[in-house]
Order: sequence, then structure tokens, then C-alpha cells
Amino acid sequence: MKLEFQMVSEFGEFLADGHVGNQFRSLRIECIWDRVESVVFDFTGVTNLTDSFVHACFGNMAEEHGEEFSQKVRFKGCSPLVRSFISIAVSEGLKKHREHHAGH
Amino acid sequence: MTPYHVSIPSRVWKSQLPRLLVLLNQAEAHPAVVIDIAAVKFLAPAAIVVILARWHRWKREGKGVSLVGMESCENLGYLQRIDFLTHLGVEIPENFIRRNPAGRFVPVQTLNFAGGDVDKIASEITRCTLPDVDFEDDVYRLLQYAAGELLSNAKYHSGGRAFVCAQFFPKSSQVHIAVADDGVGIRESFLNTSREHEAGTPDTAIRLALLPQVSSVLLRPNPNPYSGQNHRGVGLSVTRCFARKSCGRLSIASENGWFDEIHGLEQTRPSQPIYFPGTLVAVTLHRDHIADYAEMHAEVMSEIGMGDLDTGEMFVD
Repeated sequence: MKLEFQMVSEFGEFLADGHVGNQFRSLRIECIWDRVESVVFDFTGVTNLTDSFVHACFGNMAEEHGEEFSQKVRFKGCSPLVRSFISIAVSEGLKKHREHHAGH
Repeated sequence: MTPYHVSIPSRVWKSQLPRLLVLLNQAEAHPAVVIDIAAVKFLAPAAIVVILARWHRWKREGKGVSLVGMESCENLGYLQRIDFLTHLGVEIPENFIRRNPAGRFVPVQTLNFAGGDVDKIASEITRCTLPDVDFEDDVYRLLQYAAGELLSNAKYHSGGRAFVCAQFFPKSSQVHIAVADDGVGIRESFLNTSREHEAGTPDTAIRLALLPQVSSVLLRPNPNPYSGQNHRGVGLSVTRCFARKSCGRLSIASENGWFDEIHGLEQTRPSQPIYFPGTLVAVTLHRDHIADYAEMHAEVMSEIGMGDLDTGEMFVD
């Protein structure tokens, strides 16, 4: 299964609410993660976001799945600002995943 | 029994907030309170939301609350325009025509866990406060970010109803945004989390909430990816850094805890015994000191120890 989400259609131009980001991750992605071959998040039209949203959604997803996240997930249509936010959240998630699994 | 009379001072700027908190708190033990606005000429956004949150908490607790002094208040029109009276449940005829307040102030808005769209309210506040500024402008996006984070915090951690108000002051080039809620307070929000033992007093709880990667939701043991795990609790830390970098101010009151930082320097605690049930967070950003928002954000994240690994292959055009 290949998924693609238009983030501006899902949430609008400003993605602020961490709880909403977490719900989206849980209800739309995590529940079918094992069946997903690839997932693209298209940020075309998104002008701003908060750390609450980006960490709840993508930071937690990266922390949960580690390398598998890096292989399955792609981000499209990101402005330099959006890219910077996502990159930091994903890096932090991957770092935490490695810490959790160190020595396993 | 005669209700306890609280006269709101003529002008309450952010620096006079402790005095307002003390005045309101003196009414706490009384079963009925009269709020007198006869002398009011100006209330900063933080003062407006503090009065509203306190009023609604009193009502919820069954205290008799009423408003007087409207006929003598020189600035009644402003208080009506900003929807202060509407949120107190006081409806009186408006002897003016409502015009678009954009560029001057943002009427009070409310939200709680059950309702209130954080994204929408934060964007409205920003548009209304900075109507002449493009949505891609650094100042616009920074204010939108701060509003989004403060509203998210209030919505998901307070357990109560939050009031938000903002205003732009052209002469000083400052944007003020304030959120106050009638909820459980910061210390209480840490109870039943893995940080409970660190929250200690209201003062230490405020300082704990300001630390990066501390959240009263996320750091519970064994977070379940399908339910409880939420975010990393960096919003307030980042907002504090943004306030510092823009030569602004961050003030927080929760129970008898108090934090006030101007230009990155923590201010001496007021001598008065402050008490505010719930939480107030007020931020001042200096428009002239905001340069590159994306660069500021990356700097701040690096300062709070959240580095950037090479994730380049995940981004496609």
C-alpha cells in the first residue's frame, strides 16, 4: 500500500495543534503501518507549523520505527522553514529510537 | 452579606500584573464579589484574560460575581469592542459602530479541551494583530508560532477554559499575547506523570515546564504510540527563547508560582503574595528585533540541544 497525504487539505496552511498531529499519526498511519510500503507527506501550501505538531506527528513516528521510518517516509513540497522543522523533529526521533534500541 | 468590592486600577500594564493578582486574590475567601471597572482606562491583554479566567472560576465555584462601574468607565467602548464584557456575560447596548479591529487589538477568544481550533484561533490572532504584514513575513510566522504553542498548552494541560487576547502597540513596536485559564495549574498538571516528584512547588513546576523536552503528557512511562504519547514539550521553551531573542518578555503565573523574564533576565519576584489559580502565560515580542524566523528557530533548537541529523534523503521535490 502506498499512501500520500496533502497536508494543506488535511490541516490547512498552519499546523499547530500537537494533539491533532498525534491523532493523525495514530489513526491514519500507525494503525496500518505494517501494511504501508511507502508514505509521502506533501507540504505544498503549508506556510508554518509548531514544534508541538511536528514532534507529535513525525518525531514520534520516527522514534517508533527508526530505520524503517527513514525507508518508508518521504516529505514533498517543503519550504525551507517547513523542511527545517521536520528535519529537527525527525532527527530527534531517530536519535531517541537508537537510544532505546542501543545494546538490543 | 455585603459582597467584597474589587476596584480594578485605572491602568494595568503588564508590569502591574502582580498588583492585579493580589487584588483579585483578596476576594477569594468571600462568597460574593463585585468587580468595579469605574476607574479603568487601559487593561493590557494579560490583565483582561486574568480577570476573565478568575471571574469564570468564581462562577464555577458558585461564588456570586457581579460587575459595576460601567456607567463611569471612560473606556467602556474599548472593553466592549474587545469582547471583555461579552465574556463576562454582561450585555449592555453598544453606543458605537463595530469596525474591523485589525491592527489594533484582537477580541478575546476562548478554548478548552472540548472545543476551539488552535490553528484557526492562532492564525486569526496573528492576522488581526499584524494586518499589514504578509503571512510569509518572519514577524507574522513567529507570532503565529507563539500563539499556537500557548494555545496548545492551555487546551491540553489546563483542564479548564482558556481566554486569549493580543494587541499590537505601534509606538513601542511590541506585540503582546496573553493566555489565562481557569484550570488546574502547572504543578497539578504534572501529577501522575513521571516528573511528578520534580514539580514540587508551583515555582519549581513553572521552571520545569520551561525546560525543553519536558511535558506533563509525553514523559509518562512506556508511552503507547496509539494513545497517550503526544509531543516533546518544547513549545514553551522555544517561545521563551524567541521572546529573549526579540528583546521581549515572558511572564508566567500559576498558583503562587511566578516567573518573569525581560530580555532574558529573570526579574526579582514581587514582594506581594501572588496567587492565580490556573495558569497565565503572557509573551511580549519586539517586532523590530525579529529578523530571520527560520534561522532563529534552528538556532533555538540547537541551543536547547535538539540537533539536526542528515535527513536529506527523506525530502523530495
